[in-house]
Amino acid sequence: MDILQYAFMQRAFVAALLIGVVCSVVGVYVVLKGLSFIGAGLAHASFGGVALGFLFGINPILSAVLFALLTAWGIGWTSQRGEVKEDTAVGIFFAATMAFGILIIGLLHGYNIDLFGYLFGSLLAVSKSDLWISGSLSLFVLTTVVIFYKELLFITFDPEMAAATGLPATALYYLLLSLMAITIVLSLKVVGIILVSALVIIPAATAYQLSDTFRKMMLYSIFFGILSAIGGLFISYYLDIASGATIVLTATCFFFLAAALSPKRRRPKGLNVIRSNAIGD
Amino acid sequence: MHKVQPLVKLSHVYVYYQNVLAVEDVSLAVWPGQFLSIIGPNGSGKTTLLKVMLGLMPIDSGEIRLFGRNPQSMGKMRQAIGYVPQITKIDYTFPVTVFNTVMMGLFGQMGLFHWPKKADREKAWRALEKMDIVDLAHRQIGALSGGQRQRVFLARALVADPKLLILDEPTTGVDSSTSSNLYDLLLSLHQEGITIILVSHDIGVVAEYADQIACMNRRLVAHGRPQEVLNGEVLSCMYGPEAGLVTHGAVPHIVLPRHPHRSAHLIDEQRREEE
Repeated sequence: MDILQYAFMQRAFVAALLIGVVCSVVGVYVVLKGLSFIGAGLAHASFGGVALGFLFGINPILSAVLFALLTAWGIGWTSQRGEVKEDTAVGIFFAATMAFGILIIGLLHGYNIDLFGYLFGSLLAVSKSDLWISGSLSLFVLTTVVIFYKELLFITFDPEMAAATGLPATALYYLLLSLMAITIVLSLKVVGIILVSALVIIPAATAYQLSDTFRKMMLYSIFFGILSAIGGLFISYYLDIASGATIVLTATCFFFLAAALSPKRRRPKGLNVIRSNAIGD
Repeated sequence: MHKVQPLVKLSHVYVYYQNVLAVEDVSLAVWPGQFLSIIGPNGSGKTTLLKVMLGLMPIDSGEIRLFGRNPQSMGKMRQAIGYVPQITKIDYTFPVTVFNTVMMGLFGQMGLFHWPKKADREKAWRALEKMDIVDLAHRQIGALSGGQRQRVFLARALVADPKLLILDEPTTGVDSSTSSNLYDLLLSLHQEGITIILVSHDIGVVAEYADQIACMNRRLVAHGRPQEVLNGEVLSCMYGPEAGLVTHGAVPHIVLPRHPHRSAHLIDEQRREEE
């Protein structure tokens, strides 16, 4: 692995590994609970946070985390009140926060090159401090998922029943939104605002094609997440093409492969069972 | 002397659902050992009433007590209630096995930071055994028939040994022979001493199994034993003026009215066509 002799490549490798794992873990909940659009919305919302970071001269990732968390809670609060549908709430926050970011960027002259990196990702420009921030955020997200594993599973599958058994379903829903927001922001620098939600959704969607249990889906998702992130990184290095886009397209290839080979034979099998039972009854 | 307490007690409960009065002035008590069926037409507030009992929705006025407590702050007392949702609302493509679905019934009891222990898994196996679905344990929930799905969710409701079982239209989307299997199952649970509240729109079947019937049409139209409650007056209040009841054998049947307005309307239409 002679390409790993460069320090920037080592950092890129670690960053890709981190987001490959975290995005695919959180992605399982996103895909199963149908929160993909919220994911895309949060990614765009973090643009406002990145712009604020440039404005105040703090690390844009940190300001983006705060901004994305506030947006996630805003979306959650608006849709829980039931006055606006969830996708409408996302649509509003999505555009408003993006517009806010654009306004602020307009006030700052000359920062546009760095900003381009946040929009489209620049894995090879990941700094040591970026890595520390992403690393601690990843650790936080993964620890939280482990601690609340069964609760998050329950509210994803059946929130009403979860509430009826006494789980704090609303609080857990906000927790899930928060984990999404953090995951998306910590991956921003690598794949960029435009593409980051793909990295959350695609490995989990790929795993979904192949799994009949929750644990399998989680493990497959992590597997495809790492494979896409590392594979995409290497391909982009050797072909000298954009790393974020390569990672996403690699993940997409796995998705179509899985969809084509999928034992969604599992579904026909299910139908057979129902049929034979109907006859048996 | 220790007084027996009702498991569920509602006094003058009003609930608005999306700014519409869904439950109006309902007072009702469910005593230990009863098999209560809440019936009523669509949109009569049955499901709202049930959600209120489960603490899933707040009430707007009145008082509600579940095991003597406020249903929205019951803590671990909640484990005394088993809930079977409408099985048509479940996402059957979800990658989860029958066994793990049943385990979920224990999650509330386990509390945060706890993983299922051997004793929990044994409880889940016992619930599967009781519902006679042990052989389906490792199947994905989509690969089941309607009747099997019912048993899975009933097992999940029973796994924490509830004293009160609440079911929301459990027979929706299931053929009638499977439905009567379910009702027989409920009857045997009732005989074991579990109190049951069953929301249904199926008067005929319910009259055969329940020992108490509450008729809802936003208000509580009637409440009592099936023979007392299912009379013409009540039915007309719920289903319209000319609905009647035919009793042959043990099971009363509801006969829906010939609708006078509709026939008048048809005659009008005929006339118009003739002109």
